[in-house]
Amino acid sequence: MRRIFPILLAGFLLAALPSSCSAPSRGEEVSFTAMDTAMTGRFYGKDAKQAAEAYQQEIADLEQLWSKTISSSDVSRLNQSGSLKKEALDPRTVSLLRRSMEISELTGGSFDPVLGRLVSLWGIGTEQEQVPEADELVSASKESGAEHLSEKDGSFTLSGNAQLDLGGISKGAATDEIRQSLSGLSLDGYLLSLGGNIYVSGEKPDQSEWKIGISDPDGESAYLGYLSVSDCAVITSGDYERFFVRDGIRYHHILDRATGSPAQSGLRSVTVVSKDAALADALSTALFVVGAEKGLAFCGQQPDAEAVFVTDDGFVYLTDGLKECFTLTEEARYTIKDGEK
Amino acid sequence: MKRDRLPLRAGDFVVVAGILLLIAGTGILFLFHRTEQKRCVILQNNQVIEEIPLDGSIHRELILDGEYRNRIEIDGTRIRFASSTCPNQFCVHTGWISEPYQSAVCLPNRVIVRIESDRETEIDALT
Repeated sequence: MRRIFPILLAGFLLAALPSSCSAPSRGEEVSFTAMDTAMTGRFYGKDAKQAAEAYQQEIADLEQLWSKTISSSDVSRLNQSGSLKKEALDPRTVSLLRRSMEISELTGGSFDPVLGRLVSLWGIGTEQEQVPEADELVSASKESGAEHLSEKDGSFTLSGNAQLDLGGISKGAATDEIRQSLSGLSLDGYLLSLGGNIYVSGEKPDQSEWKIGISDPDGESAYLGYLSVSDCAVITSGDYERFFVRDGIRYHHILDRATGSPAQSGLRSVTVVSKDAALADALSTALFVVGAEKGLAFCGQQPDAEAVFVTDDGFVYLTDGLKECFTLTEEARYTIKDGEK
Repeated sequence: MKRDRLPLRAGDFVVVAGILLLIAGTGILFLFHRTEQKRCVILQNNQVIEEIPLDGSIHRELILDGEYRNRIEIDGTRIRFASSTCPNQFCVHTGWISEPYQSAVCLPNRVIVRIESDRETEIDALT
């Protein structure tokens, strides 16, 4: 038997060689459609498979609570009835509504969770997309604004005909809920993408940082540059994401409540980086509405909000915290500008 | 002192043959793994319905019926929604994709096309 051992040993070494030479594993990957978008996740570590399943399940649960098109969801029921007791809502919805009101106040109303009337009127991305008449815009604008949502005497109430639209925060808030669910699992690192709303945690198997590309608004290349980051959300709002063209004019989906129309702030996109994904999601919309100058000033006062602003004349503005992490790859078409706009 | 040569027994041949088979098998797997570095994964209704290598050798079309009809085209190393009966046509406007950080999606027909690769790319995801 003794002479068999060397043969066995050599055999197993040879057998092990190919796997040790192959490329690093891409971990456990999952893709699915939910919340009116495509979701993907990549997980590394002992509990990767369990994490992928938990991710998909949690998103399915939250969609049942927050979807505007599911009639039994918390959001639909509040839109239909105009007022609901806190006890009639899931605690996660209560938390989302409070967060929405808080961030709306923080941004002076630039983030608006009560844009339902305007969003429906424009119908961007649906079969009913249209350029509304001026009087329709005035009427829908009056029924928009976070001041129409209140929490009083244990109830959440929408005044008048106001309607919630939490599309500007729900994917970020869902990310925060999922992070909590994953916190009890043994994971080395993971990447969540909720329709391009990214959260990265830990590190990749080669121990390098995550690199998140910022989409090129012109679409000439896939991305104009990338951020090297970890343990944060990276969320972009851009005018190229959902839009329609009518009579040569492009109408995008980021609406400015002040005008009732797509925001015209000189920006093509805003990317917000924060540990708080709900904040990053809501701010990416709010900062797009206010523009680069006010946006840079706003971020300067926030402890956990960094941003990349891409203007329609090809300039890229970065907040101080991102200057070391950002790499511009499309140098021929974009230029990094320093300081205040 | 002269050592006696140990006679080979039937069991020895079985062990050696087993090892040779193991080496050959892993070698073939390794080669397969190396040549199939990039592939597209097509999902409908959150189920993987097809995985196709993007190694340059495959040129074909795929028709996916659901609420709408998607015509998906594979052209060697890239893939796209060539046409769709869905209302917004976002899937068609996405154009060709070929990198792991890219995906093409037809939400109305609940179809996702994503790319997987064993090699590292410059970025991990797009926002």
